[in-house]
Amino acid sequence: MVRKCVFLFIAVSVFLLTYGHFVRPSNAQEETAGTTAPQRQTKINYDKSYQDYVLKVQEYKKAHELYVTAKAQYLRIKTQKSESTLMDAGMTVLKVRDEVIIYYLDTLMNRLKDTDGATDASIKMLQTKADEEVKWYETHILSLPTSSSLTDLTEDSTEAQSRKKDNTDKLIYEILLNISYAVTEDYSTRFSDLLGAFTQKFDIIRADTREGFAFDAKKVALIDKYIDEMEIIIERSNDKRETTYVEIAKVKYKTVAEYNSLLKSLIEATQYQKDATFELIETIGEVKTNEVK
Amino acid sequence: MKLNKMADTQSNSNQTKKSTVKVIGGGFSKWFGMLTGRGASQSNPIQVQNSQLVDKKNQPLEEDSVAEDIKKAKKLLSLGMQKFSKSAGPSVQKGKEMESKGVEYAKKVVDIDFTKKAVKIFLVIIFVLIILFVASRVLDLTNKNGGDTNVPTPTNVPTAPPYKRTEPSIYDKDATILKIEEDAKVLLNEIVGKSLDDDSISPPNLDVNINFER
Repeated sequence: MVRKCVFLFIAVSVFLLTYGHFVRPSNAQEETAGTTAPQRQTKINYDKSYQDYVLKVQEYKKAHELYVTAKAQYLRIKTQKSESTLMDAGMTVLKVRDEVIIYYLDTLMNRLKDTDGATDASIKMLQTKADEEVKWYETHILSLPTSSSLTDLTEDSTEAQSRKKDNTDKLIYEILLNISYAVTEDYSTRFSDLLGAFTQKFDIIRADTREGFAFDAKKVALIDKYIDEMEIIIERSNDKRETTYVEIAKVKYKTVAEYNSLLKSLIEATQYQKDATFELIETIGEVKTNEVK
Repeated sequence: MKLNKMADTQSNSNQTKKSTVKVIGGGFSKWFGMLTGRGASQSNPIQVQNSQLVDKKNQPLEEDSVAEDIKKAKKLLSLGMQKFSKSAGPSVQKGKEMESKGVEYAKKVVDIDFTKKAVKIFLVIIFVLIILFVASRVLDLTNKNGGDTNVPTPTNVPTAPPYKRTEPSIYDKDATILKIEEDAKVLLNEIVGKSLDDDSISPPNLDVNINFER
């Protein structure tokens, strides 16, 4: 048992020395090592995390190319050396593949946090889920050097594939939908504020009876009608958004098609918001002008 | 005795028929012989037989009983014909009626065909006239445009709403109104310009089917 532990420790150390840049140090490691700020902290800048993610994707592409070449060579000549090369290339591609997923989840969470309209509750809930996923992939990366054969590596790959299909993809779509919902929430809040401010201002205008300041009854009725219309439009948008949010919370979506369906509902809600905002601008134009008789 | 005479008479008449046939045949062969240049000079045995028959016909009847028998036979024949005509009359009538109906139907068919043809001709004439009219219009337009062959297609010209003369109201420079308007324009630009489906953060395309043995 002790021998196995020592062997595992040596294997991990060799792996770290060989590939230099390990995935990402955990918070505990950072505290001890005193390295750069962790990329999974809540205050991280979205742009920075996105840039890191893009670089990681490029790294993955290179690693995948090497793996494809090594595999082709191994299948052609099947020597011990080619097998060893394929083992190295395979281990690298699996590691980087896991890292891409970790970086992607991190980017998504930072995007959600940077989005106005995202609630603290939803951020907290999704962060917990994302942390759980990241932890799994980090553990998976650590287990890769223990694989001693191509069969073991294939099993590792299949394991990651199942995890991604059953858990990670679902979480990714959930975060993406929450980001979109947060955007519509932001639009809705801002429009409601603008409409509220305009209504308040128009109430003052309506009450003003001074000559030159007062609008005639026809104009007042017209603007009241516009305000009613805007309220109806934005109510429709909110109804659609709420219905979609209930569906998002159910977490029943598992496929791209289901994700697209919910996204479509949110886009329709945004269309209503666009119409309402356009009408508000038109109504303001009406207030700013007088018809010459 | 009577019967014998009748038999003679019948045989005479049969011979007459045969001779007639032979005469026709002879006539044809004679005509053919004349064509070939042989018929005129050769003697014809059929002619000889015919002359013998004529002689026999010219002989008077030996007894009146034969004539009476012939008369009776004629009567019987005429009675039979009358009965036949009576019984076959309605059928003949029907046949005639059918014939007349058939003729009428044929006339109708001919009339319909004629109408169809007339309509077709009429349509062809109209089509040709339309083509000529369009061609003349195109030529006119081409000449007017100085030889330009592009025919202007009719387009729906948008009609402007009735013009309302407006002037800035007292609230045109109102700070609150201007602020609301500016914010609303910013919001509208964001809604229009920003897509909810951001491609930059779409899931990465990863090879999940990595297998080292196959």
